[in-house]
Amino acid sequence: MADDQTELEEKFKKVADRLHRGWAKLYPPTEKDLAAVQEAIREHWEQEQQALELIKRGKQAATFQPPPPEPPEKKIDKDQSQQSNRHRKGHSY
Amino acid sequence: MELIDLVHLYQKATSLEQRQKFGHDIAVAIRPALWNFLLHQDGPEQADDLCQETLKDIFKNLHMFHEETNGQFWSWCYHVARNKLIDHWRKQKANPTMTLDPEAFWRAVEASAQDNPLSNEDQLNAEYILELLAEAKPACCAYLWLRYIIGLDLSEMARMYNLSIDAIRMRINRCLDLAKVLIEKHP
Repeated sequence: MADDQTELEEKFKKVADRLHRGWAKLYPPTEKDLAAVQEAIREHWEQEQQALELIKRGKQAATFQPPPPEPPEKKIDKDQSQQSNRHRKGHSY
Repeated sequence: MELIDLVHLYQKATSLEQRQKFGHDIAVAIRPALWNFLLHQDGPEQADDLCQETLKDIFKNLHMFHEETNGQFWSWCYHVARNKLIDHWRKQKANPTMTLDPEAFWRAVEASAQDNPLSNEDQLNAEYILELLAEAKPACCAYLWLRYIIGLDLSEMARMYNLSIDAIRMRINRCLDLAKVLIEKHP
């Protein structure tokens, strides 16, 4: 029984092979099909390139060095201005 | 070159031109069988449009295919085609059908003989298989066609019919046995 089945499957396989070869001859892709495929590939390629670009930018942002702390002069300025404000406030009292 | 090698080359392509070249070769290789699959499921009027939609979906999603064999690639392609069919049936509110056209069968067999002439054994084999499919009930004809002629694997068929792999295997075996008995009764 199992041998029968294997034999039958083998017959199917040979016929399937014939049919697939025949179909390839009878029904090759049309120009329209191939153009649609090329368009789908191009669209996907562009999406992929955009995604890669975003990833690249993301990596650049992650490795971006923060700006150095403000120079001390500015702090002094700030302190001075605060002091002068306090003085002014004091004067107003 | 094997189909799966083309797929891998496509996936590794580093330029759009390369990808379009390998994509063209893949489309040429898979279109005839996909068209036939869709034709037998839904008739010639719809097969052209559905086939084109299927090809587009295949290439939009090919980056997600990570298997290693021709069989796995074919199963994946038929899976995409089947989803297209299901969407189509849903829109048309139609039921899945399967038609066996003996004339189309012989046209394909004869076309294959252009490169590889038919031996007597080939001719008898083809007659036997066609008779077996014609004698089988429509549901059995569909199982046998999808499994052995289209070449779907059992897991894909199980998904298609919403059955377990064991259940689909048993149905196919039963169909084979029944068809053999029917042929023997009407030699």
